[in-house]
Amino acid sequence: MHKKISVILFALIIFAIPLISLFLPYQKISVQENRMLADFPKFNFDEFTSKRFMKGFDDFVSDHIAFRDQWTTVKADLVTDIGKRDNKGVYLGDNCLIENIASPDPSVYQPNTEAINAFAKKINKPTFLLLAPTAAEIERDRLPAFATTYDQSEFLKTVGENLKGVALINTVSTLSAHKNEYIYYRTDHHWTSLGAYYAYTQVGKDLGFTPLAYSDFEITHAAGDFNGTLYSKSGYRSITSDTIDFYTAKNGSSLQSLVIGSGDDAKTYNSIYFKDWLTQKDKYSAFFNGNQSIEDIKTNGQGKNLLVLKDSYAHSLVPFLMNHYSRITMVDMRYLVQPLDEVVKLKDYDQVLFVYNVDTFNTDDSIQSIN
Amino acid sequence: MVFSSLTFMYVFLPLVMTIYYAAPKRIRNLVLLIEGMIFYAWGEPVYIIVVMASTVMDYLYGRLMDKYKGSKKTMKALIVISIVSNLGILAVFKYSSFIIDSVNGIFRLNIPNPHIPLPVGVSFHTFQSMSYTIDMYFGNIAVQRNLVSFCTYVTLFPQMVAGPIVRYSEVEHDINKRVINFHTLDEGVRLFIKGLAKKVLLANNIGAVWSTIQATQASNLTVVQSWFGILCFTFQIYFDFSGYSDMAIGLGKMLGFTFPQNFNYPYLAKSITEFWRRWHITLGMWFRYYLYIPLGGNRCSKVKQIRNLLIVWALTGLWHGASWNFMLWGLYFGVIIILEKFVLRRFLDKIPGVIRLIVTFFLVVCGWVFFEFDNLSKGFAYFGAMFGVKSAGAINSETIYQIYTNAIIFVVCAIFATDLPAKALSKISEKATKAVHILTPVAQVGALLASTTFLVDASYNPFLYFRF
Repeated sequence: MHKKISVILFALIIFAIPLISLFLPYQKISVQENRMLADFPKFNFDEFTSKRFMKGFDDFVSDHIAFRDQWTTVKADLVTDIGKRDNKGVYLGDNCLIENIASPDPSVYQPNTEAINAFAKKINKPTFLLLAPTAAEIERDRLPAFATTYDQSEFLKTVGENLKGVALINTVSTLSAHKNEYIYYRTDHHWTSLGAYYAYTQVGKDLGFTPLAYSDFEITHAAGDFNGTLYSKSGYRSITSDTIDFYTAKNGSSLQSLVIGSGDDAKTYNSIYFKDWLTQKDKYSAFFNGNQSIEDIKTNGQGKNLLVLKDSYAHSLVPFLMNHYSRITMVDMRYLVQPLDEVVKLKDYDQVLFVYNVDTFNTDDSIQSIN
Repeated sequence: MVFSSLTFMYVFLPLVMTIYYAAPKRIRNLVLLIEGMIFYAWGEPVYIIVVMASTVMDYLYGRLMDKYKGSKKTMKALIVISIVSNLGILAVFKYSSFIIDSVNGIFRLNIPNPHIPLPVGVSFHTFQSMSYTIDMYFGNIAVQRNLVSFCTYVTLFPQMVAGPIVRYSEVEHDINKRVINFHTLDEGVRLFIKGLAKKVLLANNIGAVWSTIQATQASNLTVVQSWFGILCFTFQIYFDFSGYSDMAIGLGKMLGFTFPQNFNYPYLAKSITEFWRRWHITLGMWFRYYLYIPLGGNRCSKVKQIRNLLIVWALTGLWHGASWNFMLWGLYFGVIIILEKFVLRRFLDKIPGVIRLIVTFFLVVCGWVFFEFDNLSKGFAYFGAMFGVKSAGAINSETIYQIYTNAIIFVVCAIFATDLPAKALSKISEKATKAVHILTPVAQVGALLASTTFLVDASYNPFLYFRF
C-alpha cells in the first residue's frame, strides 16, 4: 500500500504542476520580478539546430510554471533556513538588502574613465564625475557578520588618479557621516531622496553653488509600500517595505517644462514626478518617468545650464540641482540610440556632470559612446 | 536535456511516461527509441546523426559477426573495424583538439585546429555500443537481430548522457522482455527523488561555494579557505554524479530496466583500490573487462601487469576529458594503486581502518585538485594555497563567512556521504515499520517540492559531465 502511495503522489505532482500551469491565465510580465516573462520560442530549422529553441523553451517553462512567485519565495526562505546569508548576489543584511556588486573590472572602468577625459577635453567646460558609492560601501555595518565586499573608496581613488581635466566628486565621507540615517532603500539598489540630498550638499561645494538647507525643503511621503529591485532579485520577503519621499524647496525655483525624448518623439510635461508609477511595483520610476534616453528640464530660476550624463542614481539627485540651474539636460547613454551631439547642443551648457553609481561604472560600457 | 531541469521533470517526463505506458508492449521499444532520440536531440540536435550512424554501424557489425561466427579471421577483422570506428568517433569528436594542440606544442608545428565541439555523452554511448560488439566477439551474448531494439539500448534516455555505463549483456534480457509493477515503480520513484535531491539540494548548493573559491586567484585564498573549497568540490562531484546515477537507475526502473549500481559510498574506502571499486563502478568494470583483462590483466609478469595498470589508468584519466590534467589525475591513481598492490599490501592490513580511511580520503581530495584545474600551473598554485606555500594567510573574514553560511549544508553533505543515514533508516524501519511507511511518502514529496523550488529559482545548476 505504502508503495502505491509514493508512486501516486509522485505522478500527481509531475502531472498536476504542468496541467495547472497550462490552465492558469497566461502572464506576460512578472510584477514581483519587474520584468517581461519569456515568450514561447520561435520554431524553425535554424532555431532548432542552433539550440536557441531549446534554450527558449527552458526559459519559457521556468517563467510560466504555476506559482512561480511562491516557489521563489520558498527557495529564499529555505536558503536562509540552512544558514546562507546571501541569495543571487544579494546580502540579507540587518533589515535591509544589500547588493554585493562585482569587483572592479579594469577592462570596463578604464575605457570609461578615458572616454570622460576625452569628452572633457573636447568640450572644454568644467566637467565633474560623481561616482556614487552603493549601500555595500556605506552600510558595511549592516552586512551579515564577516561578509566582505570590495573597498569602493579605494576604487574611487584609483579612478580619481586617472581623471584628466575632470574633477571627481567623492561623496563617501559625506554619506558615511549619515550612515545610520535612511539614505539607501532597504529593498532597492538606489539611494533614497535623503541620501541624494546629502550627496547634493557635496555636489554644491564642487560645482560652486550654495546648497539649500534641509529645513528649506518640504517633504512629501509619496508611497510607503515600495518593494524594489533587490526584493525582486533576492526573493527575500521579510524586509520592511520602503518609503519614497519627494523633496520640494519651499522657496526654490519651479519647473517650467520637462521634455522627454527628442525630435518628433519629444513630449512635454509639467511635473518631474509621474505619480502613476506609485501604484505599481516599480515605484522608483515615479522620478522622471524612469529610465529615459533624454530629458530636458527648464526652470524659472536664473542660473547656468547643466548637462548631466547619468544612470538612475541621478533621478533622485536632479530634483535638488534644479534649484540652482535654469536648464538641466539629462542623458542616459544606455538608452540613447543616436549620437550624443545629434540630440544636445554641447555648446549650450556651462558645466557637465557625470552621475554614475560605482556598479554601473564598472559594468556598463555605453558611456564610451559619448565621443 | 538534463534530468535536473523543469523541462525534463514537468514536460518531458509526464509526456514520455504517459505515451510509454499507453503503448502496446510490442511497440514499446520503438516508443523508447523515439523518446531517447528527442531527449538527446534536445541537447545535440545535429550530432544525433553521428550517434545514430555509429549505432547502426555497430548493429551491422553484430549481425556480420553472427553470420561469420565460424571464421576466426573474419571475426577478428570485424572487431578491429568496430573498435577503430568507435574510437575513431571519440578521436575526432573528443580528442582531435587535444591531439592537435599537443602535437603542435611538442613539435612546434602549426596544424590548424578545427575545434570540433564535443557531443554530450559521446564517451558514454560509444563505450556502451562497444560493449556489444566486443561481447559478440568473445561469444558472451546472443546477436540482437532487431535494429530498433539495438538502437533503443544505445539511446535509452535515462543513462544516455551521464551513465551509468550499461553493458549490453546487463540489459540483454530487459531489452527483449521487462516487467513493470508497483514494486519497480516505487523503487524507481524513490531512487529518482533521492538522486534529484542529492543533485539539486546538496550538490548545487555546496558547488556554488566551490565555484566562488575556484574563481579566486590562488594567491588570494587562505589555507583554510582552499581546504574548505576543495572539500566542497569533493562533496559536489559525489552528490552530483551519484545523484545523476540514482536518477538514471530510478528512471530505468520506471521503464522496467535494471541498471547496475554506479556508486557505493566511495568516501568510505580504505584504499585507493577500494575507492575505485566504489566510485563510478560501471566505468571501472568497463575498463577491467574490455581493456585490462584482454591486455593480460594480472595473469602475466609483474612488469607487464604494471604496464597494463599504467595504460588502464592513463586512459581512465583521459576518458574524463581531453586534457593533460585528466591523464595526470588517472596516472596519480594508477601509481598509488600499483604501490598498494606491490609495496604496501603487507603493511596496509596492520594499519587501523580509520587511519586508512582518512589517508585514502586525503589522497582522493588532493586528486580532485588535478581534476578541477585543466591548467596545470593553476592546479599547482591551488596546492600552494592549500599547503600554505603561497596563500593569503591562514584565515580571513571572507573564509569565516563562507564557512558559517554553508556549515549546515556542509555537515549534511558529510553525513550523507557515509552510510550512517541508510543504516539508521533500516534499523528504524525494523522497529517502527508503520511509521517509516507513512513518513517515506511525506519525505519524498517534501524533497521533490524543495528541489523544484531550487530549479524554479536556479542560480547555479551546472552539468558537470560535458567533457566526458
